[in-house]
Amino acid sequence: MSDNDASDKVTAARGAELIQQFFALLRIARMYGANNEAWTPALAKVHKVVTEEGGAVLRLHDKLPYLGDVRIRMEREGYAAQEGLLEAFASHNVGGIEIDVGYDDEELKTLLTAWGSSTPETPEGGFDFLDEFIITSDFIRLTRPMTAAPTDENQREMSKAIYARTLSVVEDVMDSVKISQTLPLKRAKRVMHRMIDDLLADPTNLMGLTNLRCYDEYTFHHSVNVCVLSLSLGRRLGLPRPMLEQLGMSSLFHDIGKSRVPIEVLNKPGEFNEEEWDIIRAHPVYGVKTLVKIKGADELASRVMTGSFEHHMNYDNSGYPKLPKPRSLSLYGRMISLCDCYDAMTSARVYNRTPFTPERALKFMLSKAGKAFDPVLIKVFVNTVGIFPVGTLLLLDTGEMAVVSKANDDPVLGDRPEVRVISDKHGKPLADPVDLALDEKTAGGTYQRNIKRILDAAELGIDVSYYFL
Amino acid sequence: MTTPLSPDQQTEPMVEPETAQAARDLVGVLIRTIKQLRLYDEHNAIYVKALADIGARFRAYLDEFGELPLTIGRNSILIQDETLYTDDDPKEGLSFRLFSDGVRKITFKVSLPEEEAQRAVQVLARGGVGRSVDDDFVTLLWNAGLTAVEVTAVDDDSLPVQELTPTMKKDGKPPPVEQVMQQVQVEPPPEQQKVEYGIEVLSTFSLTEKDSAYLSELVQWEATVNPGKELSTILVDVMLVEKDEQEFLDTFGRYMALLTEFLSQGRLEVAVAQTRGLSRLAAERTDMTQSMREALLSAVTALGSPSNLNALKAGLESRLGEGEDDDAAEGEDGTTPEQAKEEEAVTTPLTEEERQQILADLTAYLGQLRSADPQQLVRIGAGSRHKAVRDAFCAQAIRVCSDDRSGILDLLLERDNKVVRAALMVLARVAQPSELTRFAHVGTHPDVGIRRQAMKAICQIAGGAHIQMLPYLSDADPRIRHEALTVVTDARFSEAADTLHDIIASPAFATWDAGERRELCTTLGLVGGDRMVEYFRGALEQKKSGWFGGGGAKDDDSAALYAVAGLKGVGSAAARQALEGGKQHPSQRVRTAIDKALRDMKG
Repeated sequence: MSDNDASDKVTAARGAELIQQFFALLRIARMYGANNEAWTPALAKVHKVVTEEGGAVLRLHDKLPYLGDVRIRMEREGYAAQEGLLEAFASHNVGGIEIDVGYDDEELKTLLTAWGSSTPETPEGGFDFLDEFIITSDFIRLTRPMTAAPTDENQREMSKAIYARTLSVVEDVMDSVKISQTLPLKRAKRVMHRMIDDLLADPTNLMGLTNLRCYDEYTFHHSVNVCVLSLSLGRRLGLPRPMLEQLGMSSLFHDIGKSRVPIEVLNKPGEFNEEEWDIIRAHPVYGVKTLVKIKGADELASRVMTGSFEHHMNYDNSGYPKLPKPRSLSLYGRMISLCDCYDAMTSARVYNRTPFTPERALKFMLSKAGKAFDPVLIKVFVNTVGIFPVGTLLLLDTGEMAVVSKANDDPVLGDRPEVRVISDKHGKPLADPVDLALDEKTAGGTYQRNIKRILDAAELGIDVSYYFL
Repeated sequence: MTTPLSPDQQTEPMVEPETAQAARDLVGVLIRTIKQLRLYDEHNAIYVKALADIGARFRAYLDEFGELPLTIGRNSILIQDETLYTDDDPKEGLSFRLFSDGVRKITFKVSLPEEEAQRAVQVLARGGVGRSVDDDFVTLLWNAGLTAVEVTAVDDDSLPVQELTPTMKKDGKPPPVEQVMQQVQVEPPPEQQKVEYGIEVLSTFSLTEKDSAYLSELVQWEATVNPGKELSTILVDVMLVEKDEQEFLDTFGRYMALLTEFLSQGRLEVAVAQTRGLSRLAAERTDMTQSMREALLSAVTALGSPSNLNALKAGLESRLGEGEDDDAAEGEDGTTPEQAKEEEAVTTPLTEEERQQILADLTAYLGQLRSADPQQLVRIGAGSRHKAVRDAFCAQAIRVCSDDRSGILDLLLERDNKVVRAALMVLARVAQPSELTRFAHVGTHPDVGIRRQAMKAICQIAGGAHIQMLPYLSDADPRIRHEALTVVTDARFSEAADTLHDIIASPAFATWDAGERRELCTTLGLVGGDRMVEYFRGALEQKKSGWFGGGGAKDDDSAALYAVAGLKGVGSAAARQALEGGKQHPSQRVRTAIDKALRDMKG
């Protein structure tokens, strides 16, 4: 553990203590007013924390508590205190309270007495009311809730947390299958629900994170990426949430059969021999057998099975497993097949260190429309990831270098995605990349920036995933 | 768990007393509603009403008091500090179950529509009952698609979450952008990297109306997929391509285990698909080894095994609900048809359409059991509370019944009345008249339903009246007597004459309704013909010996009246003559009856 980590843990613990004491003080204020001896011990505990921290900034960020920049994670027992404080903040439109070292307990007591005993007609009125009590204080300040910009940042953090948690869930489930022949899906469902909620709100962040890959844990990253891509495609198709859940789970575990493929085959750097190919081609069938063995007739597992079985079959049934009679592929199977192929082509693998650029991968896939892929669904897929998919490295006509961060919602403007500019026109890298939309026009009606050309990020050694973390 | 304060601190509420009381009332109703919803099926009137009421209650609360934020404690539900509800059972109560699943707060927002409140309550009611191991209240509430109910849950932090690192660089250093830019600006762009996407290319990706319709159909198709059927299809596909014999046998074993599972769940649509899958496997997998073929053959044979049939019956009972009771349906346990219908309405969880679909699937499934033992079909099917199910089992028994009917005939000796009744239903269709001797004992069976069924069966087997049905003419049940008499009448069954004659002489005859007595005499006249004229003439002339148990008539003229009916039944010249001779009978009623009989006979 680094020094920073240790320090954050101490701060978080102090934050939890502060929340508990603030909550208790507000209740004391409400029940007993200013004259009760119950104030003394709680005020002393607050004082201790403020002194130890060298001043305290207790704030809420998207309904989550922070002490300074450290997220406070309450134990279960402290949940009611957190909720109570959250309500108190909301009722008076307070976003945070800042207390400097040197404050007087009486100042805080005056503020909390007013806070605990007042019921404002409007939250904003509540804030003004409280502010009156500390207007002359040099040590205590109230702040209003933070708005848009930090929320975006928080959203990005949330997306990252969801991606990371999903990664852990896939790894855990695959291990469980391999080691104990169990398939615990409850956690997967929970994280899936959060992913769906996040994607429905705004798919940008998670789509950006699909640029993350890992040679050593390719299957896990690939599974999560295929899941994100499939869900984004499902979102584009307007699938209802229960279907998104099925699709998400099916895509997340589409490669579950690989848990039966020997690791030396999976990670073989060179070409596969015929026997190894047979093993690789068996993974969809392995997936079915694994799922049916562990989950029996479970309905969700049956849907997962569909994705696992069909994702290499191809629209014209030319893929594998090869069946004696053609099979009518499910929607999920067709969708996962597209996303699986796209992510595989754009990922560096043990045996292929130079992946396709996103646009080359798309071009290749388009050439297979009606053969390997559903010819209509692939159109939706292209519209979902964009003509210049998220993660595409671009040289702009301004001389700037940029990474595509989001497809244009309007398919007609598909060649004008949103980008994250990473270097200025002189080629100097930007410390803080700037987000821009390529459909922005000048006062004269011309586009401010145009794509000059696509760059091969892998070939040039640019790791685009860096810009999504 | 809420943060505890000292007891004296907890005495004063933080919410307005009125609000707290209203919330307490609402939660009280919620708990009662949940109990009701667990007791009844969703088509039940009580269920429907309870659900509608709770929806309205929520709406009324939200309208008056605003948002309802319920904090979930380990064993209690609170609004701020105020406890609204405490679990009776600390390990089974709603609060505990929510808390165990990580739910810490449920906020019902002001915009909550009644219908959504109802959906939320349904989830709360069903959340703990028969749910998948992969579900908890958090996932179930999410699945309910609630937009105005906010669920706050603790995260599952038991998994370590790795830190995300960029793909290529794990040292935290930014990519070499400057270096790359110098390189890019020096090198001319490679030919193949020319930008090729213009607006004309983009139009390729616009969806046509046809595309949209296609996608819509595809989505609809996926939305209606039956996961069980899909699972079966995939497993058959897997077995069609499986090269390894042992792997094939393993998968096949699971396939058959699933079939039993689906049967026991009453999911017959899947069971039907699975049995068809077996046929597909047999037809398309031409390179099966000996072991594979044996497994398949043995499985097909086992489809009609008692264990599978029992699983099927149990599954049907669970799907169809308690259903109407056999005797109630027959009206033979004293239940009126109206009561039976009412009971059906209360306990059947299905719509009529769903019920019919299940029965159609049942027929389809049973239809595939070519090798099932008819005796087992009858015995097991008879145990169902649903007449339609019993009928379906019997119908299949009829289909597969061979020339050897001894197994079914043996069932007539069973102690279970339902089995005997079902056996009779089957025998009615398959037995031969020569086998009717095996029915002899059934005529005195204490169960009225069995006797009735037996009587019908005998008539059906014999193609009309038969000597084996004579005991039914004096059955204790008037409906059976009436039906037997009708058969004898229709068949002009002369062999019944002595029996009918004996009945008139029995004391029981006096207890019958007048109409029934008259009907029996008419039949006796009809089947006995002229040899009965003297017998009836005696009664008409008030020589009542041998009537009503050998004693006298119940009243002065009744025997004469029945004799008139008997002579009318004979209908010959001799009978007419006997009637003419009775015209001087002292009873006006008898004389009127004679006049009428003579007119009718002339007509």
